[in-house]
Amino acid sequence: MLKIAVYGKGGIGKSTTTSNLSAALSDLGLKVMQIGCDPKADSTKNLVSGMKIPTVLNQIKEKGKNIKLEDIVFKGYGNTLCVEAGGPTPGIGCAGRGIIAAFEELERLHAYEEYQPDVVLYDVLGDVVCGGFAMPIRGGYADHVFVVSSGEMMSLYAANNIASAIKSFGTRGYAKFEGLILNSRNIENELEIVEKAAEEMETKIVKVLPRSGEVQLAEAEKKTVVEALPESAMAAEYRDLAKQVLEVCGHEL
Amino acid sequence: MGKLCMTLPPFSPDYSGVCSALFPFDTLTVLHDASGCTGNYTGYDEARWFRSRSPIYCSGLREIDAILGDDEKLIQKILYALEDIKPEMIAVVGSPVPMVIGTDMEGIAAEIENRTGIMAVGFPTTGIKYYPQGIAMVYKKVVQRILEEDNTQAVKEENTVNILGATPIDFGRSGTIEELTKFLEENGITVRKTLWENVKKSDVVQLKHAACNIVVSNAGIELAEYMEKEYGIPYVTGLPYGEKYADIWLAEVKKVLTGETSKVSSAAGANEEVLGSIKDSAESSAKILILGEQVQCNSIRNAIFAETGENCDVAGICGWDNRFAEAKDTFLESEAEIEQILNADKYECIIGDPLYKDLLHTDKKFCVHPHYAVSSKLGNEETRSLIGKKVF
Repeated sequence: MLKIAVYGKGGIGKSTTTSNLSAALSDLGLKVMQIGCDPKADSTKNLVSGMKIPTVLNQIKEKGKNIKLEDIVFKGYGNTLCVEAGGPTPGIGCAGRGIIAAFEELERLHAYEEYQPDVVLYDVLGDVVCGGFAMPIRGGYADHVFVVSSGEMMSLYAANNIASAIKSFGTRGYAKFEGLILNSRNIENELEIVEKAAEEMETKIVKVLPRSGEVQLAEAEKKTVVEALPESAMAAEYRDLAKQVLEVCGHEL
Repeated sequence: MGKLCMTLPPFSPDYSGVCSALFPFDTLTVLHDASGCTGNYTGYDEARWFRSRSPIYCSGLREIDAILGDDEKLIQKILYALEDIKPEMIAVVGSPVPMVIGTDMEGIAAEIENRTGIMAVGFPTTGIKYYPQGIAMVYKKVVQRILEEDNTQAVKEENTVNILGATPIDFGRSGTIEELTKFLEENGITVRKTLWENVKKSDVVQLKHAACNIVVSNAGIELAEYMEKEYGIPYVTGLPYGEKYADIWLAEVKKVLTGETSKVSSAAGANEEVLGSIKDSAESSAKILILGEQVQCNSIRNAIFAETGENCDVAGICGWDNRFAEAKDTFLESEAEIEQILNADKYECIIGDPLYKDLLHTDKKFCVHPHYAVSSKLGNEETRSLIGKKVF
């Protein structure tokens, strides 16, 4: 089982990238599980035609011990398995603790053993702000981490923070930082800026995703580009991303 | 509010189970807490201080450490303690605050092991689960790991057994484990290991040479199953309680020692051929209720049935395994549930911890069987071993 965490600054296109990656991996014949780790619970929405799937935490609240896997795992495009950890209403509660509780519940219900996905993708909120948001890169969860970034300073700053967090866990034998996915915003000298930042982070750019209006067109249909516009140039870029990710993680089809 | 204890004290939690199972090992154990949890374990959940010592430390977690998640401070404290103590193993044990802030106990342990070269194990205990889960965690993360890392072949020695699942949280100072050992040895069976006193890593490796495992509490089941799968060692659950049942149980152990498969002899129905069938009828006729650790309770039930032909129902406290339960048995998760079942009209006699008496609304025959996880030292005077003796 290939376990991958995708991090990055809020609004940088993590969920769009991750959903398209899931769809492209699924088109390659892989069984993919995508777990959204954000209280907003919208990571997988384009895989399930915009449906708001119940979150793990809400189901725990409602059903307690009677919760079943089918209450929290939903099939999306290409039979991708979609899960949203969920979290508190903004301004109250503890989102980090929420991620931990949701992960523990998935484990308690033997989600991975039951569905046996080939690839698990954790789509994680913004930054590693506390222990809870580091959960996906801890032992037993993701083995590989990718960070989505543009050439904008705040986005690279967040990427650097995430890289530092992964490095600080180095002696614990956790996930490996595999590189940056450049989600282009078409700012001046973007590639050079990100290449330089990657060098400073002692990593590399795994894939450059061009800026494309096809992403918005697909999102208007509440779908991934891979599903809505399979013949488009952007869908081809996401398919290439899937291949690059598999190659970097040493996964052979 | 359903789980609020109004009369009973809180039962031994998972971190106490970890500390208790680790007590006999050559371990530096650090409970990551502000000191209340350490005090709970050292003051109430550990019965062995009077005759032995074990280095158990409190990390002294403070608000600012929790806010900043200062793992390094904890690591440095442990490294400092290691200047004086040279243990075979280090254990970092969680409590409620680390659980809430998501402290990475396993990661901290991995880092300590990396820096010191000493085996270090992290336990993500929370204080909101019960001790059997802590004991089982030690068996899985420590005992299984030592067994897995050892490359020597398992050579089965005839007529030898291990005792798994024995900690004072279940048996207090009753002398049960010592008497069980004596009982087995008087009957020609050698007890190889009990994981009860002075355990070294080299002792753990010896576990795999036994011909059979005796499982005396629910906490030992998972390890027994692992050893059956990995080394082909069958297991027997239960204890030789009562005068007649002790012989029946011994016969079961001897059968397993001579090649029969594992026997879950704790559920009364499992001994059907010897004890006669206890029916899963729609309405249980049992007038006796036994509360406590499930494996022990099942053995008490078997002993009573063997002596009197009378059936009993079992109510598990702190741990439960459906496989060892009769149809009318139940797991109790709160004081309210305990109170309700104790006062059920159908039960004329209760066997259980003395503190449960306070929950009875009317007079009933009450036979005291202290459960250290419930009444700690308060039950010391009334505790006794039931090995080979008339139970009640």
